[in-house]
This record gives sequence, C-alpha cells and structure tokens, in this order.
Amino acid sequence: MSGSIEAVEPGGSILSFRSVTKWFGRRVAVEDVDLDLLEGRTLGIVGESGSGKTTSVRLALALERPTSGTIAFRGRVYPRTRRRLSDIRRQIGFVFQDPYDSLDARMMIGDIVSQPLRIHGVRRADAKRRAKQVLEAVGLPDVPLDNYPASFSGGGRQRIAIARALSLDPEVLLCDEPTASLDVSVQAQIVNLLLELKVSRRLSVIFVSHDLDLIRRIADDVMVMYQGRVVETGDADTVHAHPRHPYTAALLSAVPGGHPRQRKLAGQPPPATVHEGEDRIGCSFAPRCPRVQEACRSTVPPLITNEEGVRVACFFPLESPEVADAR
Amino acid sequence: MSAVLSIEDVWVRYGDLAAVRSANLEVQPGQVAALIGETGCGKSSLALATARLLPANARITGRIAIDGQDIVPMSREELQTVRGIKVGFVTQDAMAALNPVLPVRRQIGEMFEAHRGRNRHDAEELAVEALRSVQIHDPEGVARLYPHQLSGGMRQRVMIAMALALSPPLIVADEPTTALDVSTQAEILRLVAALRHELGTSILWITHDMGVVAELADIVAVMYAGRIVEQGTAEQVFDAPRHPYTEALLRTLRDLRGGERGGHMYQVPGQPPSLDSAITGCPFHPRCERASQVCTDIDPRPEVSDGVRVACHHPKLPVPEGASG
Repeated sequence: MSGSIEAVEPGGSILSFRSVTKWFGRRVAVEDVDLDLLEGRTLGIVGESGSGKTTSVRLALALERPTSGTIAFRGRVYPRTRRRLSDIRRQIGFVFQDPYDSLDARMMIGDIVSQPLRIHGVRRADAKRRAKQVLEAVGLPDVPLDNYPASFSGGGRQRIAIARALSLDPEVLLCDEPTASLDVSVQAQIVNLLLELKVSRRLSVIFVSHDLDLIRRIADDVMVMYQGRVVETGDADTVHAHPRHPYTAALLSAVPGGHPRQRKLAGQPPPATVHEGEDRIGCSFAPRCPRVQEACRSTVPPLITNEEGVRVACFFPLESPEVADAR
Repeated sequence: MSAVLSIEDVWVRYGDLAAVRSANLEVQPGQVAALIGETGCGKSSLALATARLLPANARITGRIAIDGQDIVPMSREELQTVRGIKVGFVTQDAMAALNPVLPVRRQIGEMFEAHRGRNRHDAEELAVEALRSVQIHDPEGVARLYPHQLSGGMRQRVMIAMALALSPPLIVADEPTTALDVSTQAEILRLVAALRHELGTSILWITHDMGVVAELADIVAVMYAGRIVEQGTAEQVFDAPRHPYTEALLRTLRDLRGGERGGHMYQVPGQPPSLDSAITGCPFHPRCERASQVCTDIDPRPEVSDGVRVACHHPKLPVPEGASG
C-alpha cells in the first residue's frame, strides 16, 4: 500500500465528501453534500430517481469530478490526474445494479474477474490465481474460468460482479442497488453474501438503494437524498423508527403494508402534475411538502443535528417521539 | 358462471419450452387477482396470453374466457372486438408500449375513433376525459404532450387511462409499478384502489412483490416453474400459506421488514429450475425443506380445500380456530 496514505483511527472516516456539488450543464445533480463513510460500517444512501444517489456513487469512484467541494480517501484529497487516482481506485470496489449490463457477454469469467488486477499491473498467472480465490469467496468455488456470463442466472452474475469488485482486495465496497434487479429469493442470498464479506474482508460499505426497509436491515448509518441534497442522515434504525424530515416520512409511508389487513395505500392519490424544470430557491421538497411554510420557499434549510444525533435539513421537522408522547 | 376471466388448463409453449403448465384461475367481477412469481416462472406469458399478445412463436392451448368468450381460438379480426373492449392491457414498460411520435390525445383518441366511430375532434375530447379520470391535473395540457415528455409515473397513468378508455370489464397489468420509484408506485396503487371501487373493473395484476399483493389483491395466485402452486384469498394466503414456496416468499418479506439489523436474512437455497428441460416430480423439491421421496418422483396435482387450491404433497394446513399450540 502507498506510504503517503495517512492512517485513520478505527471508526474514523475512510471516504468523505465535503460540500460536494456537481453540475451537469445547467442542472445540479448533487448539491453541497457532506458524507462520511466510517471504517467498518455500512452507509446506506436512499433516494428516488433524480435524488443524486447515482451521481454520488460516480463521484466517489472518481468517474466524475466535483464541480466544487472535495472528496477524500483516508484524509487524502482525490488527485486531479488519472494516473495518481489509480491508488485510490484500487481501494474502492464497486457493484452495479444490473448484472446483465455490467458484465461483458463476450468475456470469459476469469478475464472479467481478473481484469482489475491486470489493469493495475498484476501478472497474468497471479491474476488468475487471485480470480479463483475471490470466486471461491463469493460462493462460486468450482466455476470454470472459461465460462461466459450467459451460463449464469442473475444471482450468479451478481456474484461474479462482486468477485470482480473484490479482486484488488479493496477497503471500500460501493454497491449501487445490487439486488434491485434480482428476484426476492435470490436477493436474500446476495445480501447475506455481502454481510459475510463485509466481516471476513473487513470492508466498509456504501449501499445505495431506493428500499428503506432493505437499508434498515443492513446499514448502520443512512443518508436520505432528495433532488441532489441530503435531507436527513444518521443512525439507520433511528431514522427508520422515527423519521423527522417530511420526505423521509413520505418515503416510509409509501412502502406497501405487509398484510391484506394492514393496507396503507387506500384513499385518494394526489393528482399527478407535470413538474416543470423550476428554479428552486428554497427547500427542494417544498412543492410536495405537507408541512410547507413561507420560509421553506425562500431559504434552503441547513442540516442541523437534533437531540437524537440525527441531522435533518428542515425548518419544521416532525416531532421526536418523546415530544409527541408528552401530548 | 359470471367470472370475468376464466383460465382453464392453459399451457403456453415456445417450441419445446413450456412456460405455463396447466394454469387455472378465475377472476370474478370487481375482483383484483394478483399473480405473483419470480423471473421465468411464466407469469408474464400467462398475462400476455389473456390478451392474446404473445409473440408469434408461442402456442396457447386450453381455454381463456373473458366475459364468457373463449379467446384462444379467435382469429385476428375477432380479437379486434376483444382487445381494449373486453380487456385493457398495462405493461411495465410504458415507453415501449406508447407510440413515440403521437401525442397522448391521439394515442387515446384513436381508440374512440376505431371502436366508437367518433370523429377525430370528439375522440380527442374523450381522450382528455380519460386522462381526467385517472386524476391527472391539467389533462388538456398532458394530452398535447408526447410520451418522452412525461415522467415514468405520468406515463403509467396514461397507460391506465388508455386501458380503461373503453370501459373493459377486465384490466391485465403486467408489473406496472416495478420500474417506478416508491412514492410513484404508492400513487399508482392508490389510484388503482380508488378506480376499482368507482368502476368495479376486474384486475389481473402481475407482480413479483408480496408487498404490492398485500396492498391490492382480493385473491392471490402464486406461480412457480410454470405452475400455479397455490391460490386463495389474500387473507388465506397471508395468514396461512400452505405451499412451501409461498411460505418462503412471505418469510422473505417479513424478514426484510422485521429482521434484526445486520443479521442474516432468511433465504431459499438454490435457483428455480429452467423450463427448457423436463422436470420430474415437484418443481420446487430441490429447494424445499419438506421434500420427501414422493416429491422427487411425482408432480403433485392441485387439490382444493376450504377454497384454497394448492399443489403440494406436504401442504401446511392452517390450525383450526380455537385450537391451541
């Protein structure tokens, strides 16, 4: 490992964003985002389309460069040259959503898994040996290296993608909806594999999902994003149990109930409106927010840490359970 | 015999591959039936078969009656009197289903021209009304837009408006919310729940999501490897799943919702069988913890008790009410 990387004490931040903003043309995809992935923990990023979660992943992988703000790995700011980025890139493995898209159908499994090693200058024979080892680690011990992705199901392909992500033995694993395109019975197998690998390979994990239930199940910390901004972030159980930002609450209430006698989605839906590319001045959730007041339309609410240690960007957050109980 | 949809011993084959193997299902007026299963179980083939929308290489046998009319033997001309009129179809991928070069008012308007003999002007006004009925704010504005100008949720509403335009007694919806965000999905589910009460339309809803089934369905049919392995009312199925595969799907859902953070998730080992090879015995037996010799040898026939139809040699029967333990 490179000697220039500073040691971080256990529990310290491995990957951090500071005031990161990313514009694409005239559209802001990520705005003023602070993020800390703590060593040995899983950070869940939750958001819907347009929330900026995928752009955040691409920024963390240095596939995009921030318009402003800094991203650092173990305290070391991402360098601006490609060559020097390669030290950081090898510390971050990534798994994408769709294992049908992310694996090249014309490449053999052995080549797919050893490709990152080859790119980082590992000799062919060594790379092949490593490929066998990581394939075993993801539960594919006897797979012939000359097979093609076509002979694997969705779950098998995602195991191969995970093996590729781990081939350089990274410290961080970044997963962008890795189970969203899998069947429920296979989803659990992949989640369990990730939970095991996190421990056995001492990984710190970023797990992006639109599924708050899944995030609650596997993440220590959660970051809820809406239209490019972080609206609520903190301990995953706490946020799930009593959301404070109206958007987090709305997301949770949109999850279907678990039994025909506990239906949640009865009642009239709000009318569907066409969203114009409105210039926003205030809170981006204001147009949809049931708690909106005048201040929300003129000023962006800052993230403020509340008594539960959760940071919420809202002028009129939902009450804490204690305050609500006291009524 | 007033079922809106009656599926009897339906098989769908693509060459040697049997995607649907002897499916039976009835949907009564005003009912929402959910057909749940995972990738490759045959649920989409069965859904497409109910509107005769299968690709040309597919062969259907059996009987699919909509409002008492068997559509399996129908010619292309006869089908024109069924599609849109007796059955409306909503797909997962609205972008692919809508014509990209026609504004919304023309797409929906054409249905009124073709089937109701309206002139273009009247047809487009009816199209605006159809959009209003699915609670689109500013239906006149949306009617002028092209599909690519609409958000995913809005496109799905337009598809639903089209499917409902000619007031068919049956809507078949193939994973209509799968590609949508959570909050947009919630809006569509609310909309469908409201519409079915207003219009009394029967719905066959195809999904892989037990949460959606819980939210919407009156009756549930669980598909595995081309077969409907369990079928009953939503409450029966959720309260006391009899087939081990149904039980596994429900355990997965409950574990996701209630399981401990960081703890192992409940998982079914293995993969579903591929349907291009012959299956001996019960198709679920390699993954089943209840499997015995009979399961390896003999494919279980569906049996009905208390209105629940289940194909399993070892079904878990509900504990009678009042019994303890």
